[in-house]
Amino acid sequence: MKGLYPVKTLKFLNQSYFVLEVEAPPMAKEAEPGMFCQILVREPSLPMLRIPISIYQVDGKYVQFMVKIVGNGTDLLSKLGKGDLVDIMGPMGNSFQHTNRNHVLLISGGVGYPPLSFLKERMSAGNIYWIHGGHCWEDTFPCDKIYTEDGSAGIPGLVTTGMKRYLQHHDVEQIYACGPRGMLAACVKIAKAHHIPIQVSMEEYMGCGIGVCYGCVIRMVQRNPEDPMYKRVCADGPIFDGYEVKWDE
Amino acid sequence: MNRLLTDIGRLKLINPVTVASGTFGIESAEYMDLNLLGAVVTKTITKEPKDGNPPPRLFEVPGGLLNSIGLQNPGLTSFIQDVLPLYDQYKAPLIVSFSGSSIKEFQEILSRLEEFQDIAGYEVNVSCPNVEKQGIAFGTDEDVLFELVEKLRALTYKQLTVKLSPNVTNIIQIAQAAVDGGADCLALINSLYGMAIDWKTGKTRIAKGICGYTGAAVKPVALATVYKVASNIKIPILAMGGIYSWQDALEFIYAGATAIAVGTGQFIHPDLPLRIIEELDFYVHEQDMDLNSIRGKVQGIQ
Repeated sequence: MKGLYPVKTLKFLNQSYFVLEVEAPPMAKEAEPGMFCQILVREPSLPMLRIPISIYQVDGKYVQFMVKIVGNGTDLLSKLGKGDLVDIMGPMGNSFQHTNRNHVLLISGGVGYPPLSFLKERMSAGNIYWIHGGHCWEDTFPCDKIYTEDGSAGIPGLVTTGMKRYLQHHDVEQIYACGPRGMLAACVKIAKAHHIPIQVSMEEYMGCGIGVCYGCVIRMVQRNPEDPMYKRVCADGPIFDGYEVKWDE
Repeated sequence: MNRLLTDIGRLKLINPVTVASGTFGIESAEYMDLNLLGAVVTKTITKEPKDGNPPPRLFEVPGGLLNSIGLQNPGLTSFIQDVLPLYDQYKAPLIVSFSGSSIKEFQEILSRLEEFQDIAGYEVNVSCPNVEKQGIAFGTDEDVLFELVEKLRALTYKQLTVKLSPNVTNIIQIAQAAVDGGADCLALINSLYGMAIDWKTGKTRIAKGICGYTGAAVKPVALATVYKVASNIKIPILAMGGIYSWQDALEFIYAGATAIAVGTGQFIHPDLPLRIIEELDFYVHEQDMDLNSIRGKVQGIQ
């Protein structure tokens, strides 16, 4: 699906993060937690490629993206105003698989927050605990427990420390994680030690976003010789079983 | 009247717009009606499945895109079983791109593909910059290329396009070797060599270091290559390299191209080839002209 959608609002959360809301009824209808959209920041033609941004919230016919300004593309995106038309492809990719298990742990790092926010909204599990980590206070958002590397908000330290602590005292049945690769690798290691299934949302430099260019691949665990060594984040993901990803490259 | 009708050798196309191998797949059908394309060109297949290169495989630079896919593909058998049938429903001529690591392997692949009537022709990829022993090794030595094309020609009456690399000393000699071998058409150009390094860390942006370079930045190189070859060689040229618009397409036709392919531009707009067809069609009607009247007629060179 591809279309031009009007901006409803663009609100800054702090200096680095903003939330873009567009009126996009067909997208809103199909969006599931974990899916992303390919947003074009400027016409014309020359790459800039589209930027893959995961879906943050869906409210009726509106779709929200929480974006961190990290480069030219996201900076240009942040300058959009009400009524501006944005060229968006999506929703794309797979989504988090829902669990019928009751005790769920969410782990996010930095801009890994938005897809888990959407997931939490759509989840029916009785006991959901969410730990979020970031470099500093700017990278933190509402959840159950916050960790920052510089100690400017919540508990000083890594989110994975919080994860370990929580798992010592609770019988978690399913984990969902989204964040930088290093964090995800650590999360999967910890989950494995506790024998808990974990779904991760992966990120990789993306080309087409529709599965044709094979640019955004990640290395997979090959249990059989015919298993593919690489899978596409855009078309085979972005959500993967954490145990299927080969982390130590 | 169809003013865009194009002849690329043994194949007549309803228009001169195709897609560059590797930038297009059956997934593109969700965004454009493949029946309207001049031709469909598949991602390059090899005899055995190929894992491709380690990531990161992509990096965007001003004016272009670096890529290092390394011909990741499911291999010939899986292509025949799983991919080929998906194209049955479309009318556009299907051109299968393939590559091999020996002349014998190229022959084996083509012989196997010859069993399928739905395949309209072949694009022999001898120019991928991202695999060492496959592809480009055959596109840089004119004797080897002549032998390869001659042997493949003997196996098929279908369209045989040879895709060449600009990364050679004398493109005319290479092109002539392909023509002498019996190629119907030359596809120009495959990716340039490129590289990107992070100045902060000194680390390469692409895992393999040197990689392919495509996009708007390579258009002048492609135009010059097409012009040079078209001025010396008298078989059709399928031009590609930084084509994002119908204006770009016209420029390549002035340089001597018969048809054009859209590549990296599809990553931004997967329906870009169709837009270019519509706009070209509008232009030639508005100007009351056909493309033959401008082909190779670049003006002002002194």
